[in-house]
Amino acid sequence: MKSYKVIFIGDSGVGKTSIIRAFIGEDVRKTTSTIGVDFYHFTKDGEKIVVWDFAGQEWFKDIVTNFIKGAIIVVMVFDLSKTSTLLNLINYWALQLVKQGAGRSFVLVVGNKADKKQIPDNFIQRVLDILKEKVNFRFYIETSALMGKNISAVFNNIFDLVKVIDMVVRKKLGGGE
Amino acid sequence: MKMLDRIRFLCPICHETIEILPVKAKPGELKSVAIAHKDHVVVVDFDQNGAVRSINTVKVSKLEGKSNIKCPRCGRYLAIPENVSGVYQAAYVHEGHIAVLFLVHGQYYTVEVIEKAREVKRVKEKNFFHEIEEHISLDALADVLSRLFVWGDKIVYVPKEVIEPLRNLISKIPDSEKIEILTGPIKLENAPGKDYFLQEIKKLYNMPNDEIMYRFKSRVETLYKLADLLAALVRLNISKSDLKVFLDELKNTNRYDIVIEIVKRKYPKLILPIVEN
Repeated sequence: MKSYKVIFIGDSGVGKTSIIRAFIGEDVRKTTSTIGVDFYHFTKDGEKIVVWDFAGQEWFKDIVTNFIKGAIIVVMVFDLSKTSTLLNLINYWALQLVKQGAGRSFVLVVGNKADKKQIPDNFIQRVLDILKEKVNFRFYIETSALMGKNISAVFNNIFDLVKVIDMVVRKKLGGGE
Repeated sequence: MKMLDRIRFLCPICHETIEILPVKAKPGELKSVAIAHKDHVVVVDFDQNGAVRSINTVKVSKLEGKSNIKCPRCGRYLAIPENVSGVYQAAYVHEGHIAVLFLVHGQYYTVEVIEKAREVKRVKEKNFFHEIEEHISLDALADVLSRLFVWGDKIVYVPKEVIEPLRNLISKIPDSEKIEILTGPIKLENAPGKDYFLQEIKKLYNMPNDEIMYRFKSRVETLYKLADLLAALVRLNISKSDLKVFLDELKNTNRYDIVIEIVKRKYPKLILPIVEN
């Protein structure tokens, strides 16, 4: 079975690992800083994905950003209580996507910590407008890993996108419906 | 996880040493504190364990005058330049706090108020390295550390006086309690990785003990994590060109040889593909 590469990127502390742990059903309160990359394997309706959970910390960025390449879906996570993490999506992470040749990967933007939301909607919208000019943006969703809000929706969106991609790939290979 | 009693780092802009008291965030949150330098502000984010998660800098606004934006804490006006396009970010240093303004297209904005960090004055103290150095050279210490954490030795012989500071130095590293540190003449093996540990010792040489323990643990964990990562990448069957990118990046650091050694020891059955230059 072919597995698709999905990566979670964003600044340190925005909750990338917490979102994944919340989906698995683990205690997100115990999450500590990721070192390098962690891998998670998920399967749904015959579609298999490998989630690469990247460390957001500055000192590891140089090494891990090399693995952005080849990602079919990129989940860009920011913290809804910290504006700099949103702006870094356009100032740093979007640039890395393009630099690493993943500018056409499907991008899902997740605003985490919805329970602590501080950033006004119209501000988020303007930043997303700028982001859309730089990457292949598909969805925006707000989550709270702590409260379990919209966590399943993130992964449902990922698997829906994978299904579409899989269908396109099969058709190209002449094996589709 | 025990919180450090102070955090020391270099300002990413002016390279001045900053030493502050750490703070703890609530679970699942980050707590920011800021340090004002002349024309920039350093924002440090701490997690629930009091560990630093990120360090960012923001330029200090030198503008004066009125605008329709006020500091949510003290009500002072946050002056903004005329005709701002794209994203504008600036810090405003006020009494006891710092306001950071984020403005998009000169119209949409948000202001975050960050408490000023509590800076501490440095007190020079005798640390593990100073104690150990009275009995063995730093070169010998680096050799011992390399044998323990790269070769995976479980028993090491050192002079009696070195046992306690060495035990404390490695105490934060998982499973270090399984290592036996015994009294005996030290034997120099020139273990691979010795140079790396010597470089790291020199970087940490004048730091206080708690910071040395924390940073040393972090260094060793990073080596193991890089080894695990390399093994995982090989198992994931990533292409040789992608693997080469990773290895090249690793070669740019001083950890390449050590990581390869650890992979060989931890994953003896793993076949590392030959990646040509």
